[in-house]
Amino acid sequence: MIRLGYALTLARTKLNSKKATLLTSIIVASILFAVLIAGVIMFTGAQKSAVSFLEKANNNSYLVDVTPVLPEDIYIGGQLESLEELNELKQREKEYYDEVRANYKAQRIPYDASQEVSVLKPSPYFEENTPEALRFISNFQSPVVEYAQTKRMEAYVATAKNTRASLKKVAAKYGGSGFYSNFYVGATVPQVTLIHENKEDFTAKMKSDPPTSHGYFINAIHNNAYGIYDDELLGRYLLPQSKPLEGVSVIVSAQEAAKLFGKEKGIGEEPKEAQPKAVWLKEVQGKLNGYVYQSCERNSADRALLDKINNDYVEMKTNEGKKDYIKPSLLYNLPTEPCGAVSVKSDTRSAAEKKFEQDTIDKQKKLGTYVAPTRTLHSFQIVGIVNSEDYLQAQDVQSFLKTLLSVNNLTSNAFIPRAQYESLPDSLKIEGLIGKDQKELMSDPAKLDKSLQQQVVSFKTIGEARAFMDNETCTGDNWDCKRLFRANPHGSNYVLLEDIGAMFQKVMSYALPIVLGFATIIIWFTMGRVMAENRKETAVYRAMGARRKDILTVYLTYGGIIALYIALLSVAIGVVAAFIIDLTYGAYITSIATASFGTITEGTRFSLFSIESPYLLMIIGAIFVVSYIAMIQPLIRNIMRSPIKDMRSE
Amino acid sequence: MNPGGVDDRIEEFLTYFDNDPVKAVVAIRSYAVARSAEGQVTSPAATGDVLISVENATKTYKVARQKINALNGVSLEIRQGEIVALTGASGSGKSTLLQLIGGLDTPSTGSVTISNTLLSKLHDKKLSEFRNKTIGFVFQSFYLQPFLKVIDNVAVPGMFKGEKRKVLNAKALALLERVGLGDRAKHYPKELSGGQIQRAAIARALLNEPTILLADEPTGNLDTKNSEEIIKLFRSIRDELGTTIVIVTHNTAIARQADRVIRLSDGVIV
Repeated sequence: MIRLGYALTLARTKLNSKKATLLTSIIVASILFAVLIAGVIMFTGAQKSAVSFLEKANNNSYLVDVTPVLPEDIYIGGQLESLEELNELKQREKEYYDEVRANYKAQRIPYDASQEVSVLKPSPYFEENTPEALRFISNFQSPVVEYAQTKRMEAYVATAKNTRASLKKVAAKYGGSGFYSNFYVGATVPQVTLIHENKEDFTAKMKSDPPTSHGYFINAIHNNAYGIYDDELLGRYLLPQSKPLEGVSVIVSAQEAAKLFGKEKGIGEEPKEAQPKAVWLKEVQGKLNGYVYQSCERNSADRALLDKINNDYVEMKTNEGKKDYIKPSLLYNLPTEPCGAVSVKSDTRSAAEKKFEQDTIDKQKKLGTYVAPTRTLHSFQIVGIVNSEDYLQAQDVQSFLKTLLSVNNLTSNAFIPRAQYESLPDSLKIEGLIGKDQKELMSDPAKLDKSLQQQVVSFKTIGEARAFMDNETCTGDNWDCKRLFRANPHGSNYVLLEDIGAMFQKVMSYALPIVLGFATIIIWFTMGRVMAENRKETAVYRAMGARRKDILTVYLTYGGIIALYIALLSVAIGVVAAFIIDLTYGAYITSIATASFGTITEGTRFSLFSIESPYLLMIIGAIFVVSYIAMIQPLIRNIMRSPIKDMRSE
Repeated sequence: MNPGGVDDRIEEFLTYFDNDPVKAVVAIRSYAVARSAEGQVTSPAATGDVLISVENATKTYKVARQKINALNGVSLEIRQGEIVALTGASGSGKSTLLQLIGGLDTPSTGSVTISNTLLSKLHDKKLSEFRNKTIGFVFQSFYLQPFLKVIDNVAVPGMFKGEKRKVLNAKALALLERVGLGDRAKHYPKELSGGQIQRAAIARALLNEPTILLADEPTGNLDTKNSEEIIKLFRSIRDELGTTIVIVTHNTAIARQADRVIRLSDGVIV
């Protein structure tokens, strides 16, 4: 049997056969494999970098937003569903007004039953076969609807299996450890208005431009839309504390902060390109960290006075010059200073009018429903800046990257870190801020009980988070959810990242066989040509006593050399290509990632270069396998050939 | 062939002569001759026994559905140490006969026996080993590998035998010295003349010390002077080593220098 060293000596001589064809084949096959290799290197780099950004941003954890799924029939709708629902609402109506009557009686105030608003009203539209008893709809003007809804929620909560306690047990099975909460603070504009440039806009309304959650988020200060979050969820956005807190700490969007307060700090407009934007963002963070602004909260009575001033003004303007128009008997002036009280402009009320109003106030006081007009000045201090991107506009590569890398579930409100808020002195706290969400009962009944609020659960790995979401919850936009919880990744697109990983594997599962197929054909063709050209030489070797095994060894060694060349060249091309792409786009993507993941990730580089994928070894192995597979047919034909045939052509 | 275990002692000789292959091989030869004189090694040239025996061999080829009888019942015997020239016109069957003797092909009928071994009884592996150890081939077109140095070209048959590189190089260099190409060992074939290339090819054929050297038109591509030198070389090889040499040639001048001339015509000896 020929030694490997001799086989190598003889195989190397064949590299000079069909040199141009061989070189072309090696180059073409190498480029095909190099594309795969570069793809793997860049994808692995991107995946690793994204994970390192994610882990840094989320304190090495993967967060999941979990919301309990409430049964559909818990909500009172317009159309009555059954006779049972009809009877339930009638029962609630009776209970509610019995309570009201009892209260009046206790206060010794005469009760006027004509003021009662029935929970049911005749339905304007119904099917002919609808039973007569059900030809009603819920009357949302009636306070009974809210009362009945509350009762339903209380009954549900008593036996619910998707409370916070249940969630802890279920999530713990998958490694869920941290449980955090966030909730929306109720009072918004116009109850609370921003004092901007020492002015209060009494006509302020909710703003959203564009009309998406991004639009609300970049107007959250104006809208006074705040949510209280456990600090663990906000760490990535917090800036180093620059001075002692002078107000409620808030994390706001860079875009709104720059628009409202940037002018006085010399901050320019937001650039569109990623890298200048990263510089701009840093400037916003540097100059507005610690910035204090104020808002004025007016209670419903005080707000009603402002509304009256506006309405009276409009009414008088409309009726200006009309002889029979009588001006309102009580007129007020707008406050002369931010968060000031209204003042009486003119009071021409009759004694009877004054008495009626006083009696009404006295009655409300007795019933405990009287609210005196009050206003409170609230101070906020910026402690964090979030770069907000409008993901719905994601149409170009840059937007796609941002969507891919960054947070996808910012809410429409700015954030107040809970622990920081609770550590404030009472003088700086907003009275009743935590708890105002109770008022949101009608829009979100889950707020009735804290245990049914949205929770954020943290997991140590993507796999744990994914397993919990896949097995225990409905994800994404699945509104026909039959499970106890609905969940989505919190704070980053890590699931998307994993999905893209799976997609990449899928692409590889198609691309690899295609490339292998092409490479096999190319190598097969080349080997066939080389072996045909070397037939006489093979015959001479056979004449010298070479066995078929010896010839096989020589050609297998030759195939190994070709495979080695292809492997080396494709690795070299792939590595260099990936390196150049990383060098060209690495800094750009890093700035996008830093802007997306928050200040905490500063110093982390987003690299498109990593050679740590097992795919690389697989591809290199595949090059050798393919080279040998491509050799089988021409080699068998060659070694089985009688040497005499080739000798005879001599 | 390894008379008296000479191959086994090459390394010993190389070590003794500080890896000087020429000195080592000269010493080996002296050793072999001495062993021969002691009667331990039987020199083929000395016996004159029948080495090659062809009995009533026929060979039929099928070319484009047509049967061509290349050999029609050829019988001959060639003795050890003989130089035999096979002559005849093109298509007379001389190359076919050479290939049968060389174990590259088998007769359609009849038999070829070499050293009492019936070649048709050997399967491919044994036949390859037989060719490797017993037969040396010399071709008209030389067939030196153009991208191997001359010394490596000469060493090729030894590579298939699995010999150690050091031993192989020593033997190849000694043979090149023997054919007058010692100074060309590190050259590539393209740097040699036609005559030199053929001498290198002969050196290659002798590497495994075969008992039979088969040469198919060895001077076909050479001028008269070089052809003369090749024939002289064959004779000296036979004289020194006792090698049996069968030469296929058109050249009557070359054929005349053989011990015996066998003429073929239409596949039969005439």
